[in-house]
Amino acid sequence: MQMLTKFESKSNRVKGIAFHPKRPWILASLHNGCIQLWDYRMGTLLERFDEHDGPVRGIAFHPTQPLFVSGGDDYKIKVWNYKTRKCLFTLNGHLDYVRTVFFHHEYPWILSASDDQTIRIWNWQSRNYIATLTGHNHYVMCAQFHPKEDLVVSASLDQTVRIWDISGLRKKNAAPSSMTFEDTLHRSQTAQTDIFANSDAIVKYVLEGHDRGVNWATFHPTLPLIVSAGDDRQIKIWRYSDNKAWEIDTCRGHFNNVSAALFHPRQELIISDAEDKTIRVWDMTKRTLVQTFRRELDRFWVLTAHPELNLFAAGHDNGLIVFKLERERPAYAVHQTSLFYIKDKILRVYEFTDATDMPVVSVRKIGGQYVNPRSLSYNPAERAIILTTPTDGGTYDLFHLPKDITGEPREASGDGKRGSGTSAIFTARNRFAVLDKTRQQIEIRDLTNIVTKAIKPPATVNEIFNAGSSNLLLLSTSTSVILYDIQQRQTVGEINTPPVKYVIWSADHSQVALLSKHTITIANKTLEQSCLIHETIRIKSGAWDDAGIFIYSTLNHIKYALSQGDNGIIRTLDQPVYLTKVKGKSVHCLDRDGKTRAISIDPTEYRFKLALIKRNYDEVLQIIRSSNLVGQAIIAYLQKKGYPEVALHFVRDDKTRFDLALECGNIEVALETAKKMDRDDCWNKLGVEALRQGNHQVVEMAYQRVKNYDRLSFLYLCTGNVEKLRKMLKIAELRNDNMSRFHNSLFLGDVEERVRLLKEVGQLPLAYLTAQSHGLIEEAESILAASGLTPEDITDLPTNGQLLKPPTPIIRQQDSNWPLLTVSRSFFDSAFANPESNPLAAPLAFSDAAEGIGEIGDWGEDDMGFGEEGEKTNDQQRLSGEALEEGSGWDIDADLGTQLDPRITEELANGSQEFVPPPSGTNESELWIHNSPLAADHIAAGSFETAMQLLNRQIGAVNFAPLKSHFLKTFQATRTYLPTNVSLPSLVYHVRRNPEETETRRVLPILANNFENIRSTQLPEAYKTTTLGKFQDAIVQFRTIIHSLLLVAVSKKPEVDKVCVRAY
Amino acid sequence: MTSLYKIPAEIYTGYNTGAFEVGKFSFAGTGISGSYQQVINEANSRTQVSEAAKLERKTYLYRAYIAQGKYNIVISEVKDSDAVELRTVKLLAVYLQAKAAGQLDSKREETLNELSELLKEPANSLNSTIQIISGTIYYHEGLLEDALKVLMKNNKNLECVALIIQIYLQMDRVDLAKRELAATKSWAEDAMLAQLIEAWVGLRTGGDKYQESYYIYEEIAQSPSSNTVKILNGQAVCHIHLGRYPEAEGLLLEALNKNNDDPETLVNLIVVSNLSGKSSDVVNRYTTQLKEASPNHPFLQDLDLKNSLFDRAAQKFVLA
Repeated sequence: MQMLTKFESKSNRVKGIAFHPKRPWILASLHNGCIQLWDYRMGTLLERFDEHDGPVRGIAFHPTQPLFVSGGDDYKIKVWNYKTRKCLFTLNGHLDYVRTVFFHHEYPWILSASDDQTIRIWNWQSRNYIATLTGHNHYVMCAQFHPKEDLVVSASLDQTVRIWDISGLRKKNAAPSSMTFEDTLHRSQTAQTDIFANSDAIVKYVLEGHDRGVNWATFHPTLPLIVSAGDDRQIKIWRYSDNKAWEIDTCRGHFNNVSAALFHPRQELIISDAEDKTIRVWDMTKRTLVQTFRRELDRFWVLTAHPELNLFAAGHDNGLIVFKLERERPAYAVHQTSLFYIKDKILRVYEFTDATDMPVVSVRKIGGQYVNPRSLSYNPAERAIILTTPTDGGTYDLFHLPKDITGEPREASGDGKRGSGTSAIFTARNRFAVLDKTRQQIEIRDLTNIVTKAIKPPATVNEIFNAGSSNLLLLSTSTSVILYDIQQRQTVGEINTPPVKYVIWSADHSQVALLSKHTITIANKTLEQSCLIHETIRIKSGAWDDAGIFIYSTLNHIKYALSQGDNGIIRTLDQPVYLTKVKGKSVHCLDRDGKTRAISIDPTEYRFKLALIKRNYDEVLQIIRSSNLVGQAIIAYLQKKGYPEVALHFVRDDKTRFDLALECGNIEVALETAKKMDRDDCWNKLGVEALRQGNHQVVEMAYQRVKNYDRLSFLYLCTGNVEKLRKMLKIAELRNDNMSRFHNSLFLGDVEERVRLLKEVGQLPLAYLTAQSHGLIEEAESILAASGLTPEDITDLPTNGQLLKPPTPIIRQQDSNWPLLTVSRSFFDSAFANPESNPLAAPLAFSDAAEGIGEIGDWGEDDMGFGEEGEKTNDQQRLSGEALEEGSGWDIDADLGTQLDPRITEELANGSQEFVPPPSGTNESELWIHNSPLAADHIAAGSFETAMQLLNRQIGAVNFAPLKSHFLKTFQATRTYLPTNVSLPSLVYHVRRNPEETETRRVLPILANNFENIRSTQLPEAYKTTTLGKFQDAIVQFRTIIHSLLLVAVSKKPEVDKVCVRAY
Repeated sequence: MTSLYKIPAEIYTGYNTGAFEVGKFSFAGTGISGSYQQVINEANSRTQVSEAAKLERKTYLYRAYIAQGKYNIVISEVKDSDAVELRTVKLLAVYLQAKAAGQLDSKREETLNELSELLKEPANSLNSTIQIISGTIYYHEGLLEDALKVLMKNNKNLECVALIIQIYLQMDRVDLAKRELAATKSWAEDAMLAQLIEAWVGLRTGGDKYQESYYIYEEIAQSPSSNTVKILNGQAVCHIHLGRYPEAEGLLLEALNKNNDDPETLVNLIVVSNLSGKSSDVVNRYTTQLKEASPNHPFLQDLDLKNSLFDRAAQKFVLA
C-alpha cells in the first residue's frame, strides 16, 4: 500500500477539513481563524473566509446546498454561502470553544460539540437551536450524526464515547407541513423549556474503555460499528445493537495522542492520524497495523474521507494533504478486440465485439492483499500474462491463461514464475523484458523465466514500453524517451519529453502517443515528434481512433488530438475514466471501479478538422452537409486556419460573408453581399479588392455606388472608356464641380470644353493661352476681344509650352475585364457553386445552370427597373438641363446612381442568362514550383531563374553555362503533347515522377536525369572510356555526370547516400 | 432541331446525337480519331440522302480536308451562295491557312469580325457547326472565354462538349472539366468521343486515371480504322505518364512510320528519348526533324523561350 499524495497545501495549523461532495474542493479551517477553500485538482486557493476570531476547529459542507458551516473558539457557529462568499448568519449559544460542526444528511440540522460540555442541534433554516444534548462532564471533542439512522456519537475528554438517540427529535420535526400554528408554538416553547431535561435526544449508551480523553468518534458507513481515538494513544472499535453496545478491540501502535480515526468507506480498513506525526492504516477485522506513513515535522490534527471518491485528507501543523491509498487505475491491456483487465483481484476479459465480460483468473495471491497489480502485459501467442505489482520494490508475475474460459475464475496456474522488476513487458512470442530500476538493468527472459540477456540501459530508466517490434524497446527516462535496439544494444532514436508514464501505439504502429503527467507527445515510429500537447490537469489515458486521431482522457474531459497538434474537448466527465478503445462514435473505457463502459461521443468536429488538414475536401463537404456544424467557433476556426473560403459557406450574416469573401477573393459573393448591405465602406473595400484582381467592372460599380467621381474618371481613362468620360464631364458640369470638369476635359483632350470652362470661371488669361496654344485662333481672338485687348497687348508669352493631348485609347476595354488576377479557387467554390446539391450557400454567380438564374435574375430585373428609371431621368435631365441654364436646383446626387447604372445593369442582365466564363486555374508547372524546393523541379517547371537562385543558394553555383544543356533537357522531358480536337492545337500534359499521386499539392515533375540512368548507362560508359585511355573524353563524360547529378531528385535515404558517394 | 437530325443518313447519327453506334460511320468517331481520309471517302461515296444530310456531309467533308491541311480545296469549292455552315467552314479554312503561312495579322481582324457578325444571328449561335468552328477559331486566338461563351449554348452536342473540355483543360480547370465530363457521361456513355474526353481529363488527373486512359486508347486502337497517328500518340502519352518508356517509344515509332512529320509524334519522341536516357544525338535529330515539319510548333517556341531565358537568368549570376 502506498500513499499517493494528490495535493498539499502550506498554511497555518489546520484544525478542520471538509470535502465538497461533488466539486474538487476542500475547506480547511485554520488555527489562526481563517477558512480556506482549495481546489485540490488544480491546486489553487479559491477563497478565504476571515470572520472568526481565534482558531476555527469545526468545518463542514452541506451535502446539497451551496452552504458550509464553521465553529470556532469564539463560541460562534457561522453558516456561509460559498456562492455569494458571505456569512449568512451566526448561531450563538455555546458557552465555550466549538470543537466540531456537521450537517445532517437530510434535515436542516447542524450538530455542534463544544467545550461547554454540551452537544447542540440547530435548525439552520429557522436559525435557532432545537435540542441540547447534555451528559458529558468534560469538553466534548467530537459529535457526529449516523449517516442513516437517528443516532449521534460523541467523544469527550471525560474518557467516554456516548451514543445518543435522536428519534424523538426527528418525530417532532417530521411532516412540518401538517403542523398547526399552535403546534409550532407549543414546540418552540417546549424546546425552550426542555433545555436540560428534554426527551428529544436521550443517551442510549455510554461507552467506557479509553483511559484518557477521547478525541474522535465516528460511525461505520454501513455496519453497526464505531471507531474512536483518544489521548491514551489507542483506537477502539465498538459494536452496538438495539439494546447494548460493547468494545470489540483496540488498535495499539500510535505513540502519541490520536487525533482522529475513521473507517475506510470501501475497504475493511481503519485510518487514523495522530500527534506522533503518522497516519496509520489498520486492518479492521484483524486489528493489525497495515501501513504507517510518517511525516518528519507535522503533527496531525484532523482526518476526513471524501463522501464519494477514494480520497482522504489530513490536516497537520503546516497545512493539509489530500491523498489516496491505492491506485485506482486498473491494470489493463488491449489486444485486438479483447480487453484484459483486473477488477477486484480477478483477471477478466472483455470482448469489444459482443460486449461479453468473463472472469478468467484470480490473482488474489499476487502482490499481497492490499496491493493491486500495476500493469499487465499480454502475450497472445502463448496466452500468457505478466503482472507487475509494486510489492517489495517491484515484482512481476508470469502465468498462463487457462485454455478455456468457463466463466468461473480459477487460481492462477501455479507455475509461479516471479521475479523482481518495476516494469515487465512481452517483447516477442517467447521473450519478455524486465526492468530492474534500482540496479538499472534490463533483462530479457524467456517464458521459463530464465535470463537470456542482460542489458545496461544507456541512461537512467524509469519504465520500459513496447516499441512495436521484437527487438525494440522504448525506455522512459526522466527527460526523454529512448528507442533502444536490444539486439544491437544501441539507441535508435530519442525524443525529449517530461517523464513518460504511458505509451500508446496506433493500430498500424505508425504513430505513438507518449503520455506524461501534463503533456502528450505524438511521434512517429522513429520517435520524430509531430506535436506536443500541454494540459493543465492530469492526463489519464488515451487510445487511437481508426482514422489516426488520438483520443485521450484527463481528469475531467475526453479530448482529441490531431497529429499536427490541434486538440479540443469532446465531452466532460464526472469521474476519470481509462480509455481502452475508440470505435466510431463510442469510446470504450474502464472506470475507477473497474467497470467497462462505453461512452458515446460526437466525432464530427475532429473528423471535420482532420479532413480539413488532410485536404480531403469531399469529406469536409459531406460533413458540412450532413451535420449541423454551425456556429461562431467553427467559423473562427476556419478563418484562423486559413480556410476563409470554407468558412464563407457557413455564414449567412451579410457583413461576415462580405468580409470572408474579400479575404478569399471571391468577388462574386462580395458583390452580392455588398449589394444587400449597400454601405459605403463595403463598396470602398470591394473596390479595392476588385481593383487588385483587375476586375474593373466591379470597381466601376463600387465607385459609382460611393460616388467617387475622381476615381471613376480615372478608371474610365485607364480603360479607354471615352463615352463614360464624356458622361462624367457632363455630370461634373451638373455638379458645378469645375475642377472635376477640368480634369475630365483634360482626360478627354477636349480643348473647347477646357477653354469654355476657363472662360466660365473667369480665368480669361488661361483660357486665352489654352485656345492660342491649341490653335483655336478664332476663339483666342474672341477672348481677347471680349476682354478688350489686342494681340499686341499680350507680351512675354511662355514659348516652351507643349500641347498636351491624351493618347487615343487603342483597346477600349469597357466591355471586357482586364486579365484577372488568379484567385485560387478551392474545391469548395465549385462544390458550393452547384446549387442543386448545396443546401447551405447561396448560388454563386458562376454557373450556366438554370437553377442559378433564379436569384441572379432577380438582380437583373431590379436593376433593369432602375435602368428604365435612369433613362427617364436622363430625358428629364436633358429637358431640365436646357430649361435650367444655371444648372442649379438639380438634385444630382439623388439620381446619379441610377443615371450611371444602365450599362452595368445591362451587363448583369445579360450575365444572368449568359454564361460567365470561369477564371483560369493553376498550371501544373506552377504547382511543381510550389511543391518542391529542388532546383531540378523548378527547371522542369520552366522556372529557370528560381532554379538558379536555388542552386546558387544551395551549392553556391555561379557559372551556369555548362548546365544549359541539362536545363533544357530536363525542361523538355516534362511535357507531352496530346492531339485532341480536330483542327485544334494539341493539349500539353505534364509528366509526373509520382504518377500515383492525384493530390495537386504533392505532384512533382518527371526528371530526365535519374540516378538509375546515370548509374546504368552513363557511368559504365565513362568507365569504359577511362579504361580505353581516352582521358580527355572521360573527363568530359564524368563532368557531364557530375553536372547531371546536381539535378537528380531522390526520394529515399540510401539513394541519397549513394548519390553522395558517386559525387565524390 | 431534332427533326433536322432524324435524317436517314445514319452515317452521322453518332455525331449528331452523341451516341456512337457501332458499325455506323461518324465524323465524331472517325474524324476525332484522325481517319480524315476515311471521312472523305465515306462522304463522297453515299448518294441517297436528304438535303439536310447532304449539307452535313459536305460540312464534314470540308472539315476533313481542313484537318488534312488541304485548305485550298475548301476555299475554292465553297461559294458565297452556299449555306452558312459551309461558309463558316470556309472561314476556318481561310483562317488556318493564313495562320499556317504566318500571315495571320492581316486576317485576324477580318475573321473575328465576320465571326461576331455570324453569331449575332440567334439561329446561328445555336447551330452546332458554327459553334464548333467559332470555338475553334477563338481557341486558336486564345480567346478562351469567348469560345466558352459560344459553346456553352450547345444542345448536348458531343463535339461542343469536347471543345469545352479542351478549353477547361487549357485553362487548367480540371475540376470544371471533370464536372462537365460527368454531366456528359449521363447522356453519351459509350460514344468514342466521350471516351476520348475521359482519357484527356484522366491524363490530367493522374493516379489510377493514367491506366484507365490507356485502356481507353488501347480499346479504340483495336479497331483498324482508328489505329491512327493520333490514337497511337494518345497511347504513347499514357505510357509516358505511367513511366513505361520502351512501350511508348515503340508506339511512337509506329506512328512515325504512318506519318513521318507529325509534330506531336516528334515532340513525344523527344520527351521519351530524354526520359529513357537516350544520347543527345537522338534527341537532336528529332528536334531538327520537328523544326522542319512544324517550325512554329509551341514546343519549339517554348524551347526557344527557355533558351533565351536561361541565358538571361544565367547572366545575373555571373561574377563580376
